[in-house]
Amino acid sequence: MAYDLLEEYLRVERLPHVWCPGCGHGVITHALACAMAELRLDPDRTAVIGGIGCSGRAAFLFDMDAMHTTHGRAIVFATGLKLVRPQLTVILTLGDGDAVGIGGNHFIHACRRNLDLTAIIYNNSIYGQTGGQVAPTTPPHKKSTTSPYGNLEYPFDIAQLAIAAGATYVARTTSFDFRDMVKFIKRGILHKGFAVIEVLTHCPTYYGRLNEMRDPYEMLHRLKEHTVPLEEWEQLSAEERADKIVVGELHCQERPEFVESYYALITRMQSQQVKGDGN
Amino acid sequence: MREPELVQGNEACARGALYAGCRFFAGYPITPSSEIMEYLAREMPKVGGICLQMEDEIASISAVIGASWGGAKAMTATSGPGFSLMQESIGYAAITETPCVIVDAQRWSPSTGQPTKAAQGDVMQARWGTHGDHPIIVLTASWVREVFEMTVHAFNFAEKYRVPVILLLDEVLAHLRENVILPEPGELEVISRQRPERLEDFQPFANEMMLNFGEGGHIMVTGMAHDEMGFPTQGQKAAEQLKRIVSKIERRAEELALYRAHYLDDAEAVIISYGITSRAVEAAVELMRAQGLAVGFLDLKTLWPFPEKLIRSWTEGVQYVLVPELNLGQLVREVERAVGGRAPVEHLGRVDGYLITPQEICQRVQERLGVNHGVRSS
Amino acid sequence: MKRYEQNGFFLEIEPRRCKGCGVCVQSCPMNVLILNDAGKVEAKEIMRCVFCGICEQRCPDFAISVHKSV
Repeated sequence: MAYDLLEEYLRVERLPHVWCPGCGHGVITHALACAMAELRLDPDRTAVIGGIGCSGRAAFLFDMDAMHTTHGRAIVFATGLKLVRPQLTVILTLGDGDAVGIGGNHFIHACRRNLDLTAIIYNNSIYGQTGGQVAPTTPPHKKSTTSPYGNLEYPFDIAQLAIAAGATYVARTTSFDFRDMVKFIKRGILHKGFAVIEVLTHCPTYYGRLNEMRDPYEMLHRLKEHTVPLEEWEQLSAEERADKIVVGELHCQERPEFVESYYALITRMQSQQVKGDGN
Repeated sequence: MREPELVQGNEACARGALYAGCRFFAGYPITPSSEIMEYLAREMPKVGGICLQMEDEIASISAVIGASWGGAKAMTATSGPGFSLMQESIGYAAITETPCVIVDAQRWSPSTGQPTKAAQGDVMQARWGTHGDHPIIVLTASWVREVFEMTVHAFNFAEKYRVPVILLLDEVLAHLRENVILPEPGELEVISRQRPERLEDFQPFANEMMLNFGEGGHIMVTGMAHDEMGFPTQGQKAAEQLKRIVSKIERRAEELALYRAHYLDDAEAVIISYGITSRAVEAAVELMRAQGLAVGFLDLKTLWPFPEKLIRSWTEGVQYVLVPELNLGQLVREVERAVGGRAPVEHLGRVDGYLITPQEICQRVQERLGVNHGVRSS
Repeated sequence: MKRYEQNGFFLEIEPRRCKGCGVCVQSCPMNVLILNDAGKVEAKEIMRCVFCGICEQRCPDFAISVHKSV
């Protein structure tokens, strides 16, 4: 996708962006812009809502209505916006800490509510913007500035968390798989309901440096080797699955979408008003 | 003339919001404000509005801000504990100049406190709860009809000045019912946000004009220090913008100062109060006036920006100023600062969860005036 | 914006955006790209380029793109 096609969606005058050399966030944001272009979304009817963290900075790059909210709360800012402007396509760019760290409560409730939002989670398994602290997604034993002796905690599986909480479209891929990112983001946007696209991505500056993977290229490939497509995953034994992560479209179901349900209630109540049989 | 109806304070607040054009509410159950959400859950759909119960108070205020940028007049309601949770996003609303209304039905605090007991202990939190210098307007009310009116004022100020407005109620006012005739449609002025005529070269963070999301403005909203176009900035420009949004409210303290006053012309003693306590003050002042005491009262509806000049002028040449409030002394500090030593300013507090009575007020004033003038006979 | 033309395709590089992470250089299957001494990507061997687009898909900085010349 030539960049000029993306200029309709991106504030190219704000490039170069703030992310570190070799960081996956630029690649994910590029994929999001491609998804918008391929779907030919109308920038006047699209909004990007970013939280606080490296991922939140994506909001500044999109030439459309955009919000850079408080940490962990992008989802609930977007909830209010979507309900009063249902015709807006609302896309969230969240970090892993942003979404399931401080924002965990809003994340599970948004999945449960099944609001028509698309949440792209830039999962680099660390708090990057604040300098490399451990995250709820940091794998066991991995180093960070706040797990200097190795992470003692067990990480969330964001995709499983989203499915369990009721999200009706959940996909996972990596920042290596560009076309899959574009495909899943497009499907998430088109999906009527809460769509979660978890993108495992590499943070060379902190996660990589603190875990012997300083080179972005090498880290990206190690990340890729760690994943197994859904189709293959089913044939693997428990041992083969041990330190691997399944990627692909993990869940897709139809369930009443919250905005639509609320506006149906409004229509019903207002027609009752007219007929005068409201209580 | 419509028939009076028995209306609860919380219900008057909800009806005032609808009257003002509020079409989005997000909240979380908390005593003593839950009835506001319960009323709006029933009535919002009928008027094409939305009422959401969220997973917590942080979600509630955040959804309100999102809805406001979607173009809706939006409100949340809570009490002390929830109000504390909302502070970070209230600061976001302040720096992004987002019109919204936050109702805090105060209860005995701090912490869980006495949920069904009244207090006025959130006055300083309402002003300084969120971190850093920031613009905010804080209103309050004493009567059920006034709750309705002040809710409309809250939306008008929020929309006119693009600022979060806090309405402080208390558990007694929130829950009591009065026989009232509420304003008719059209009776009170209702103000909506001012929109720019032209999109080109519109600066979303330069003045009080506002463009909503979905109107082609490609608006950038961030809680970071930002320039007139909404993009991150630092240093001198950050200072300039902060001074602009703070002075936007502070310089208008007079214009924003809503209050009721009585018997101040010849007053030797002035009682300055707000909220539920003002009801007892009015009764006390009538009692003392009947005894020939020159006592007047100033019942503040706007607490912040603090109406300093107003206080200074109404306490000119006065012997004694009393500030009764249901806390251990909060607004009294501001009154002392405004009076500036020209008269003794005293606090009369009560923190057992019950209201200050007219008798307590009379006794204190009579002691002070009695001491200065000997016992007066009417 | 630098442009490298080759039988109906061209490669566009925006040095100003490139942060010299080297991912494109290492990812290129045909070893077309290098980092110059300013640390910016350059197409050293454009003749070998098959315009597969892997560099564009790996670049985090929107600094390199592949086009069919029209």
